[in-house]
Amino acid sequence: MKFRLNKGPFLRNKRTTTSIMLELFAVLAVVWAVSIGFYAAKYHVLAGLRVFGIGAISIVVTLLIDVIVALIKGKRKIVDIFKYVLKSYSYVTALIFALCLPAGTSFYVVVIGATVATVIGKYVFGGFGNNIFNPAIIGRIFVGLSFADKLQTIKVVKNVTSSMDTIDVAGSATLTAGMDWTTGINTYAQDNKINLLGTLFGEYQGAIGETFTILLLVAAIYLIIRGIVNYRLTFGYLISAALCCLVVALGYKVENVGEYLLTGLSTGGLMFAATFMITDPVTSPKSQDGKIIYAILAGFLTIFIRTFSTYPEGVMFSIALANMVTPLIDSCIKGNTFENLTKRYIKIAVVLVVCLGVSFGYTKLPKQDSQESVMLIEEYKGGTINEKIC
Amino acid sequence: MIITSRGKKHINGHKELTAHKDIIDLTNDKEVASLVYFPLVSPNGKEVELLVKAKDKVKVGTKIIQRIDFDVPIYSSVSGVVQGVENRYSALIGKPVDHIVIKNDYKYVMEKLPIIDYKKASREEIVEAIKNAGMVGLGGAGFPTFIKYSSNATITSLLINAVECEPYLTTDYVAMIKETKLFLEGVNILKKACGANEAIIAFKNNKKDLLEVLENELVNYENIRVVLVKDQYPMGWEKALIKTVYKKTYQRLPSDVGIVVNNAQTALSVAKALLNGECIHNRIVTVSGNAIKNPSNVLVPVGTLASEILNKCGGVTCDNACLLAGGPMTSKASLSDEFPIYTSFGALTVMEALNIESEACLRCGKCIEHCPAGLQPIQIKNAYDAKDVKDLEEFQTGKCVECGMCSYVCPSKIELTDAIKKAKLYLRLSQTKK
Repeated sequence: MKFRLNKGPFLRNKRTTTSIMLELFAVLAVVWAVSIGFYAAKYHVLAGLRVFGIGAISIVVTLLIDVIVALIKGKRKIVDIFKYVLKSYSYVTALIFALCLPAGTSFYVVVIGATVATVIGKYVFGGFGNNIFNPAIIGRIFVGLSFADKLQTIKVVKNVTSSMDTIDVAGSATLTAGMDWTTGINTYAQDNKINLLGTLFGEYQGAIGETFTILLLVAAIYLIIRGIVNYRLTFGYLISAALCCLVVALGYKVENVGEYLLTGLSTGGLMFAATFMITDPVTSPKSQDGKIIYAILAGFLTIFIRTFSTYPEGVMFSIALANMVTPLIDSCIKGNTFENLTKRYIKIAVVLVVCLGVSFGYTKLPKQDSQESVMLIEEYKGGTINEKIC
Repeated sequence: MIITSRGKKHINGHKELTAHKDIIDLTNDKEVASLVYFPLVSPNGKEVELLVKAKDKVKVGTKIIQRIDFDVPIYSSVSGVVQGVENRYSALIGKPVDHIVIKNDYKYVMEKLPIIDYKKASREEIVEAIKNAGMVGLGGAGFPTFIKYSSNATITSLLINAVECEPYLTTDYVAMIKETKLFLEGVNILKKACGANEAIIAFKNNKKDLLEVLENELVNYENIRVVLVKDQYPMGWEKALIKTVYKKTYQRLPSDVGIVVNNAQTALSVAKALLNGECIHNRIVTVSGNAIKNPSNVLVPVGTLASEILNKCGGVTCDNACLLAGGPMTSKASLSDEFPIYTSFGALTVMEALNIESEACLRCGKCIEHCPAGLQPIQIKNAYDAKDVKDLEEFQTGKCVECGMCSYVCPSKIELTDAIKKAKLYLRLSQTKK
């Protein structure tokens, strides 16, 4: 009898990349469904429909692009095209992207964002597995920079003439943007009467998927137990962000450190990123200690951009920046992973200490809008500035 | 562990298919082993000396081949007449080689080896007897046993490896259950042969019945104890086992840290040779896998054709099957089943061929996390694809033991083990060129 000459081993794990991605998509869909229900119940049925619409449009657009790419690549049979679309995993990108948008986002912005995410974020680099940046983040950064005024939250408008209420956009102010990180006072939270418990259960508006912190935490734990995301990434990112936040709070001598920390961790999509974005395996380093260093860097950058730069939200930029370092980290970690363990721990510790040191350091820099600059502006208005400069 | 790689991982062993079935004795079955075959090369491909010629009459235990490389004899496993030399495929070498053919008369007349009283004999005498009995490691590698006991290093401990971490294999387990007393005698002999003051028998912690049987007998022996290890793959790899049992690591050989490792069945056959005067003539073979009709353990003379054994186990159930001389993780596939069983073959595994479609690397790092040798398989594959010799050296490619773990865990089904095998060869070639 003849036998096959296959390559060994002849026993393989049942887990495939497709099953991992489909399960991740299912978890994302649960978060999406909860958001739809939440918006419909808390605000208006139309708000729930909007949330559904944003996700659905994003998925449909990316699937269409996948089909077009499959046709360009010469796939003609329906089965081949279906297989190509299934194994491109753009639907996961689409849902992550959609969940990063606030509920009042214009639909055409969703279309543009999803297109940019798939085409520029993924196919330009050669498709799944080759992209340097997280595609969803590329899309989100693009719309964030180009259509900042179209990314708005919603409000319910009481209609006087008929009994039906309608919804309208409510501006692009967010909880994270309302936070003064140097003092820990959140004007947005005070105006909208949001307490700490509210930030944990999503009692405020932000991006669709990012507000329900507890649900995201449950999702993260589920994904870790199922072996779909690497816990080193999730916890590395959260711990690093928490430590940096703590150091910044101490540096600025904030009164209520606990509240400051909780606001830092539960708002602005940090928990969403820890669950679904930083854990994207394709754009994170391959080695285990590399993953930790990468997560620490991303966590630090998130807090750094939030509290020090002019951008209120740091999550997207921080992960995109950390993505750039991934190949460097991979090329630095060589040798046997069981040997020189102390050296490996020291490497991780050095990265963490440097991040914390920088975090503490910039809190001690002089504030930019100090009294002096205000005086300068006033002097300028009075026409005395020219003399002073001369 | 939490921060860097974990190494070993649990793999479903499917041992229940054969572990608790009775061993089927095929030695007197006229359809099996009417002709037995012995390859005329040693496992490493070196030449051997043939001691018999056609039409010679042989008995069980007649010396027919002398290995030149290690000076170890090979004995006939049946009584009968030598028929001549025939060229056929050998799963041991991986290509067709000359085999000597012996016609079996099913009488099994035995020519006994000298019996020695090991309690009175000196260490050197025991090692010499082990050498003359043609003892080789029965765990799969077939490395001559006496060499491990002739080293000058001070040995403090003997480790009996009964882990059988490869899925489907149960020969060590059934052999130990069947001949517990003889097995422990063998351990005692080996303990004396290496001059160790203790012997440890290591096997997986899910074999509670074996533990009970052994502990009942162990009261009669001093300084032999059982250590249970986790059900993980590849726990049976010497380095991994020594690290688990003794918390020691070494670079080259276990004797560097004062340990000798031997397989459980080797201990059993040493006892048979020194106490009963039997050479290794019969062999328990696990016939298992997901594409064989009646998975079972069979007792056959060494040199029996695999095809005859497969027929006795109900045959293969599907058209696209892979036949492996050994377990499914480390063995190579054989094109035909017309090859003889060698002394060190513990199993014939018939697996349904998997339809594997590789995808782009997800970069999840699972292969790195679970590599028992602490390597980075995907990085080695990338370096090999780029033919980067410097990187191949830095990633310690030569330390790969080809356990198959990386290909097993890979969700994208990339043929990592295969690529690393090629990378090792490429690295060795380019190093010799310098």
